[in-house]
Order: sequence, then structure tokens, then C-alpha cells
Amino acid sequence: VSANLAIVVAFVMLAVTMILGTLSAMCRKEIETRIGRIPYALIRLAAARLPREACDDVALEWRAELDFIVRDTDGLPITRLLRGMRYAMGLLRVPPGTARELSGIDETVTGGYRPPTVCHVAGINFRQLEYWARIGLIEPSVCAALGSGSQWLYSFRDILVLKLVKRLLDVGISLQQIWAAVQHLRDRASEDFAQVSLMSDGVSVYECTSAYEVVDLLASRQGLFGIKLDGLWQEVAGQLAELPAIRLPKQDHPGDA
Amino acid sequence: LNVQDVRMTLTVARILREFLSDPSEARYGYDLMQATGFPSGKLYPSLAKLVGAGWLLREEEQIDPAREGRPARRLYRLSDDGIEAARCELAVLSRQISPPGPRLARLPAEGYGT
Repeated sequence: VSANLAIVVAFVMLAVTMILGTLSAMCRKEIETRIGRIPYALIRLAAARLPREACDDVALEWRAELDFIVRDTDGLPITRLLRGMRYAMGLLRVPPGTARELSGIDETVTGGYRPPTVCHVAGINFRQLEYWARIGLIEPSVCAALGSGSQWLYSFRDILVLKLVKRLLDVGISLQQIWAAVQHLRDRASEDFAQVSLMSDGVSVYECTSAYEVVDLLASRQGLFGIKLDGLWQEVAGQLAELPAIRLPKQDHPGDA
Repeated sequence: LNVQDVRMTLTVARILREFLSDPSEARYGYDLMQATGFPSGKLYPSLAKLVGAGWLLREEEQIDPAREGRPARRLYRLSDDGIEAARCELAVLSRQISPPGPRLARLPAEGYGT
């Protein structure tokens, strides 16, 4: 009897061990899979912040690198996973201002956008567009540069400024104040553009290039509101990615060689 | 040269330096991260800037993803004009930021008069 009992006990223990083993293997697999997915999710998140045109291409590149890091670099699985995690986290920390560079939307490209597209993106009507061009607030810079009067073409930057003007008008800033702000922005290089925030107390427009300046202004005035050019940039780039641009043949500049 | 100007930050210069160590070699993003010690968030925007300005070429790795069981990676390589521009810019930069040499004792003014 005792021999039989011993066999039964041994059998039960064996079964329990096997079940526990399987369970733990399953758990491990489950945890492994779930944790392994985290960096991929982070990359998707990072890529989602880019304008749609570039999103897929860039996300593919990052995924391929991550695949390599997680599978083929040396070290134990957890080391590799941490490495992948760090890679993905880094991409998330790309500031939005530089994220637009990854999008490949090149504002220096020769070409531009026709008035219907411009009006749509800037949220204005054609009469406003035409009026602002006539008074010299914002003229279509591409056509001016090429000297062809027959077609109006606006550059990326023109559209950005148009959208800005529209925003400022909407909150009741006078055209005169806006004019001053636009003139001021005109002299700025594109790299600095993204760092600028325009603040207004409803009467005057102030330019801030750092958070400290914003805080200073807030402390000294009341009822301020602000527009970050960086955000506006992203918005315009996102909208333009889906709209047609007129591309002009690239011109050779003899002096550039 | 058929490239556009790129603002020469130290990050950009460090990346160019890495490429110049063997100009004909194409490099992966992760590879460059390790070589320069830059995190991904710092490296990729600069690479994109250099590609946009025509200094770097971005290529797809020539593999069959189905057979390798992984997606094709992207490679970066200096363009011909990029090589020249990079050499030139790095030379300028290195002249600008190299520490001043030890002060030499002033020689007697004979023969140096203006």
C-alpha cells in the first residue's frame, strides 16, 4: 500500500512540477513579449509626431534599427532590450522643432503654392490674400523672385506668416501692430523661427525667444496670449503634405558654385 | 560645390568627422550613435539636416527582408561634394577652435621692420 502511495505521490509531484514549469514558461513568454513591445510602441509614438508625408519612411528606418539593436547586438536579452528602450526614448525626446527637419519638407525648394491652396491652409479668403499682397504685408515671394507676374506662388514661409496674421487678427490685434510683427519676423533666419513665441496683450505684439522672456512678460502685463511659431509650423507642414505644390525647374545660380 | 550650407554645430562637425574617417563607407544610424556617443534624439535630426542639404546620401540596405527575417535598414554615406565640403568645413572649424599655441619669446626686431 505504502509503495502504491509513494508512486501516486511521486506521480502527482511530477505532474505539479510539469504544470508549474509550463505555467512559468508561459508567464515568461508573456512578459517577454509584452516588455519587448514597449520600445516599438515608443517608436510609433515618436513617429506619429511627424508630418504624415515622412512618418512612414522614418518609422521604418527606426524600426529596422531597433530590430537590429534588440536582436543582433551583443549582450544578454535584457541588456539589448534596455539598449533598444534607450534608443526609442531618445527618439521621443527629439524636440518638435527639429522633428520637422526629419519630415523632409524643404522650404528652400524652388516652387510654391497657388492661392486656393494657400487660402485653405491659412484659413483666409481670397480677398484678404489679395488685399494683403496689394498693401505689401505679405506678397507671394516665389513669383516675385522669378519675376513672372502671371502666376502667384506662395512659399512655405509665406503661408506660415499668413496663418499667423490670421490668428492675430482673430484675436483683435490691429493690422498696424501685425505689420510691425511681420516686418520683424521677415529678418529672422529660419533656424531661429521655431524658437520664437509671439505674445500679445491684445494691443501690442511681443517676440519671446525663451521661456524666461515669456514669464517676464506674463509677470508685467495682463491678459496675455501667445502663439508658438513652432506649433504653427507643424500645423502648416501637416496640412501642406496632402496638398499639391507647383514645382518649378531648379534654377542655376552662377554665383553658388 | 553642389551642396547647401549647413549650420556648423559641434554635433554636425562630430558626425562629419566620423564619416570622413572612411568617406566611402556607408554607416547605419545605430552605428553612428555608438561611434559618436550621441543619443538617437540628437543624431537623427542632424543626419536629416545633412541629407536635406545634399551632404549625405540616404540609401536602403540591399537585402531581402523575407529571407533575412528583418526589415532593410537605412545607410548614410557622404556624397562626393559632401566629402569636399566636410573636409573644408572641418578644417575651418579646427582652425577656429584649436587652442592658441604657447607664446613665443619675442625675437629681436632686426629684419622684421615694417
